[in-house]
Amino acid sequence: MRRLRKFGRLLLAMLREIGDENAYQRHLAAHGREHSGAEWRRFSEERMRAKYARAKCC
Amino acid sequence: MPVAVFMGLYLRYWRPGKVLECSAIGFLLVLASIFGGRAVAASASLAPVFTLSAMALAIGIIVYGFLASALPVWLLLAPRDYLSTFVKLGVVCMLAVGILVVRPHLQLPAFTRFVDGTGPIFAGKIFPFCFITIACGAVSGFHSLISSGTTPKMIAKEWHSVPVGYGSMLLESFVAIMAMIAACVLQPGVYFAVNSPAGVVGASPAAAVATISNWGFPVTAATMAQLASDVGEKTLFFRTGGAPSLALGMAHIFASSGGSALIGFWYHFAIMFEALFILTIIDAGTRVGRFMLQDLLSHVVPPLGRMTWMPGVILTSAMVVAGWGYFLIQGVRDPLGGINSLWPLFGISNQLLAGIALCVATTILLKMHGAKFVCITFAPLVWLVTVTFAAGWQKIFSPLPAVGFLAQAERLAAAPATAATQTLIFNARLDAAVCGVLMVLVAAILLDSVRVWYGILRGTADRRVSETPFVLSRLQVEEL
Repeated sequence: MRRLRKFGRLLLAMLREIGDENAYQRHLAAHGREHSGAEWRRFSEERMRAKYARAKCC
Repeated sequence: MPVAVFMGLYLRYWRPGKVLECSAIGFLLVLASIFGGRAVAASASLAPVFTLSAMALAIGIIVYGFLASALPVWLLLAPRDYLSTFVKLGVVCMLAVGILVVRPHLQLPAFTRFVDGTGPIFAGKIFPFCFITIACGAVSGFHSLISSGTTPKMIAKEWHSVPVGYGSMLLESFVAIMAMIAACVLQPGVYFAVNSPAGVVGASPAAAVATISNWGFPVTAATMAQLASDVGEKTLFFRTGGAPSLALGMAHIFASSGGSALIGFWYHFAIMFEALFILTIIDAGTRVGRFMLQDLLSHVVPPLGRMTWMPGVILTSAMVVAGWGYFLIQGVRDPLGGINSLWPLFGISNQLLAGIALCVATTILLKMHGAKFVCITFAPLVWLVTVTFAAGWQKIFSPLPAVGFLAQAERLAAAPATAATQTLIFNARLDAAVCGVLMVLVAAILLDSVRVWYGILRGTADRRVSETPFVLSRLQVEEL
């Protein structure tokens, strides 16, 4: 049962990573901000801009 | 679609950032709608509301394509595609496990008598028509133009396109192999009864089973009636297009691996799974077509180039939808079934488009590396052009009415004139014209490419490779 819970937690962490939720939490912590709809949009936009601004290299 | 709109609004306004929560709700709602569908089908008052004619369905699809193109992407297209990804991946994994568990016996022989080109479902010889197929994992003009709905999300750097692109091809090919297994586990007689049009095997179930049994593939009306009853359909005769037979095969595998009582559920689940692929082509294809048309028309009417100018968005969406919607309506009106006229054109145009993509790739390789790597794209281009042009030529000019559009129109013109034959004649001539135009356009691009390649290899053409510099989007997140 303990292993199953551990696997469940791992799966949830992976899904959170895929769904950008962990990255968003890191963003909130790094900027010392609270969650809000506007903050999520700002985070999404920043990620998109950063992604396409350095599309060519590593 | 209502579930997708709900998810779009949920993430946009109600719970922004709660991606997992929204995904779980969306997935549960989809499952609930499939289970609830059985109750709707059994309801005397609700069933007629949701039982639509072919024309009503075609119009519904056209309206959906327009909405997916004109509405903000976060409201319908993105959540619909996102939700579909989970369903698709889930079904593919389940099917793979199901096949391994059941290890079904393939019923269809490797070759049938129809290798001579007289097949009831698709007439034409193995070469070239075996290679005229919508095989996204092998070659696809559609995907060479727009990749996939989720590719931009996965590719952050240029080199990511190598594992993502190749991985997508492998996964698509994996799906294709399993789809073939699912279709081949059906009894051949059942397979032909489901897929053959009434115009070929006879308009009544008794005539159809007699024709198919005479071909050497025994099937009875009672077997077909039992199958239809098991999966909750009124009939499974003349269900051309491949989707119902594939769904039957998939349902058979799922039911055999445990849960035979749920064969009706699995059948409708598989139908929905297949519809998701079609919806992706419709919504992503229409939206990309709209962007291209806006870009093209902006040279004449500059405001049309603004992606957020609603009159332009609505006008170009309507134009793109009208373009493919016309053929869909014509297909629905076709007495032999739309698949008869639409499928060959779909395959030929998709592969001609892939030929254009290979021309462009060959030019880039020649410019960047000379003749060193050119065979990577040139060899498949030669094969693709040979196969597609051979198929296109045969579809237009073959003297066999079952193969050639013009021969088919000529034979029908000699028959007594009815509304149905007039429609068939018009469709056959229209198909021939469209096929011819596509071939001429691709031939022009091919000839021009050959001219450029010749110049590059002789050193008389410019070998510089230019790339449009990066321009930051002026769109805000709210406008996307």
